[in-house]
Amino acid sequence: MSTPILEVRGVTKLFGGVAAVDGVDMAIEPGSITAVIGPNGAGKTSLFNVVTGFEEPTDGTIEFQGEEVTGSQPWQIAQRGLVRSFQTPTGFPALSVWENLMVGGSNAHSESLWAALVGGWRNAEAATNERARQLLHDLDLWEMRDTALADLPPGDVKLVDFARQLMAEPVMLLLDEPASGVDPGSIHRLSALIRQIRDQGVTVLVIDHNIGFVVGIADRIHVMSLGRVISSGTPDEIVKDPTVIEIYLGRSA
Amino acid sequence: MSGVILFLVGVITLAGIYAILAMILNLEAGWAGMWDLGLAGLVAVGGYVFIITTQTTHEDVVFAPGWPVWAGVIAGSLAGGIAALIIGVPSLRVRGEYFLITTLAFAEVIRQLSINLGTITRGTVGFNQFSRPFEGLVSGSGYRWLLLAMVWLIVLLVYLLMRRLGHSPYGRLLRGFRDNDPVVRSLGKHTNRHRIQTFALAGLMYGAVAPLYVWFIRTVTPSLFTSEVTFVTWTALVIGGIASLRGPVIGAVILLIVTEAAALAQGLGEMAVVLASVRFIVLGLVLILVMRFRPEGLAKERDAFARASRRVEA
Amino acid sequence: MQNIIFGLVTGSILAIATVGFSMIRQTEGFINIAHGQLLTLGAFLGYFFVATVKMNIFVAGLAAMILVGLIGVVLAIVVFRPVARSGPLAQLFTSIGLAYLLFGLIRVIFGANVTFFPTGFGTRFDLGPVNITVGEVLIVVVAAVVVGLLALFLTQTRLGTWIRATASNPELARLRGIPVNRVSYAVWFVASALAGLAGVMVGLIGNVHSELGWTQILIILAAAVLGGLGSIYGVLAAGLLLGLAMDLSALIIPTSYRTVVAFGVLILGLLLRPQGLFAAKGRREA
Repeated sequence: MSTPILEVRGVTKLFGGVAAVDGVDMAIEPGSITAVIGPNGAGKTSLFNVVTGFEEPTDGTIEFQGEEVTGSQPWQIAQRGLVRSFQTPTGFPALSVWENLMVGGSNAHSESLWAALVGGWRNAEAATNERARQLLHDLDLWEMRDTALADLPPGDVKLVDFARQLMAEPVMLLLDEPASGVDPGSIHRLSALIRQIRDQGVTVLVIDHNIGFVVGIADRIHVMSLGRVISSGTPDEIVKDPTVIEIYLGRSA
Repeated sequence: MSGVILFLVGVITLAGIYAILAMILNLEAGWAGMWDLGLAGLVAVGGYVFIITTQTTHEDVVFAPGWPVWAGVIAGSLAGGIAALIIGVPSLRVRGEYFLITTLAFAEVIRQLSINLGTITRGTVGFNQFSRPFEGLVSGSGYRWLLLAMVWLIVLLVYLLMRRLGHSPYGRLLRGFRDNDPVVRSLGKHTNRHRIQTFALAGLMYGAVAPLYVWFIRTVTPSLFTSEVTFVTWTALVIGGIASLRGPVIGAVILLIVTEAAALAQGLGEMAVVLASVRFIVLGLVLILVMRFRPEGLAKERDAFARASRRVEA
Repeated sequence: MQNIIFGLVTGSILAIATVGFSMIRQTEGFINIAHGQLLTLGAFLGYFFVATVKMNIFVAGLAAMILVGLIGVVLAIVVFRPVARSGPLAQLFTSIGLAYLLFGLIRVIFGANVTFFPTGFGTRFDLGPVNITVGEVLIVVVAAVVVGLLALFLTQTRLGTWIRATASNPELARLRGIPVNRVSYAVWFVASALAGLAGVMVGLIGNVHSELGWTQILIILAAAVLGGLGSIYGVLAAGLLLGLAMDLSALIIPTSYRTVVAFGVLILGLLLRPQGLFAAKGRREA
């Protein structure tokens, strides 16, 4: 067992009097695919928000790659290699697919005002271009590279979102409901993609409702309910766990 | 007949000035998503600093160094940029509508200051006797043509600059965080810094082109920089197509021709007020109709950036 | 002190104007720049009824109010309804266009000159330590009465409750079966009528000219933002506060800086409390 890439210790997030996240401990192994599941309101997205800096925890610490990141700004955390997706994937609707990806992959130098005025960004972007081109071909999106994101069907928008996150060359990827809204045929493709990037060394943390999808890809699953982690284990263990079954049958929304 | 021609020259010149203002607004509002309702204030800062530093005819002001034109333009430009930083840094902390209102407030403050700081600005009287560049070279009425050429040359230069900025990764990034700020931050980029830079750049540019406006109107008074300037610029941008490249220029030309056409019959004494009012009526109607039937304007953003992927392949 | 009275008067007028503006913002969801022009319209109509039709000032005021209210509803249907789905920015620019349209029309119909209400309310008399005119007393009293009636309307009547519900959560209101169209018309009528009333009041204590709308909308915006955009009481308090600030500041700095003072107070207020003085729950801003 190597040192965890992400360590969440005793994280609590209170909204008013309500604990969206209640004393959560979690350790994610590098190179794994971990899933967090649970009914609506279990606190999964709030946990994501706290980990990625979009919310500040009321209590607890978060360590990424051995360094404390509790309370850091989202862009600082993202720069360390922790990239997240959002539940409603709108991306950049007015930009084309190509531009969406390029925003994901570009570096600060090529995007500076100075570079825009003086030039020279073409060279700085050459490597990013290559990656974008490759990714678009891999995902079968090359034909629509000049289409504005707003003009694409929702399933493809999700795919572009995913691609954009990959362009940021993350060390760890947090996916918030990647399978929702994706048609069953494409879920297969999505699962294969996730496995592929894990094989390339990216650690993945997934939130989703779709148990079938999650069981199919995860090495380890954490089940949350009412802000707490109530069960953790391998997919086999989880599907047989009585508390988990009760959570899902007991509250059917 | 020549009266009509000269009048048209004036309209096209003013259209050019507004085209430049609209292109700058397009950069900060169309691409970077900062809804600036106070650009008249930034233009005012540039215009006043320019005239104060360069004019030599009026002696009753505190500060009249009588600098050459190019120095005045630079001074005005820098003043615009600094003013933008001063309002920008606190304003960009507040979201959406509050930014609108803060910039509007700022423009009003500038206008009040220009009225009240009489020892520097000559108050409501302002400056009305100053020389304009190259005036010695052409005859009286010929100057209009020279000014027309100067303005449209600047229009071309600004257009090329905007195209360069728009097609760069910087421009792309601006449009990105206009569309979806959290996503951009989740990709590790620092959006506030870019916004402030853009706003400061806009301030510099508004300040730099203010002299054109000054030379056209031939006076500098506080009433020159009312929110009407802001709203006409916005209307031009919105009609032409916000966030596109050619939109601002198209919009400015169409809008100015349509609104000033009403004033063609100028010279009929009692009708003057009515005609001046007709301009506002037309302006208002045009804006309402465009918002109703074609809110995205004439030129589309998609078309301006459609071939982004091919730009690098070449 | 004298200036406190002036401040109360200015504040009362501002409060009346801003309450309507804020109602539109809450229930219709956008900033209506044309609100200032409705105020100007009220002022001119009031003047017209008193000076030309020779009505009694109270009747004239009421007539102006109702007329502006109706015009507001018509404008809402003809101009704003078609763009209701296009988003708040399209609506904002439509309101700017309407503001210019109304401004131009007012100038054409009523002229660009400055006029005064020909009433006898200028007589000053002493009330304790201060010197006041009948007009000023009237304004504060009427404002208070109107606010009281408005509060009663909003809390005690069914339509009023519907309006409050729609203001705090339009989607939920729609789902619960509240007739949103009727609510919308009611809000437009009330808001516009209030603007008209404020216009009449402005005309009473000052002068009537076509530029009124533009100067007024600026301070209305300031009061609305300071008040928190979500709460009627906040807006009222903000209006009074700004009125007092503007007139009290006249003791120290030139009166032409009035709007600057208003914005200064606004910025100070926002720095201290970014959501406004009395931000209500249910504000849905990013």
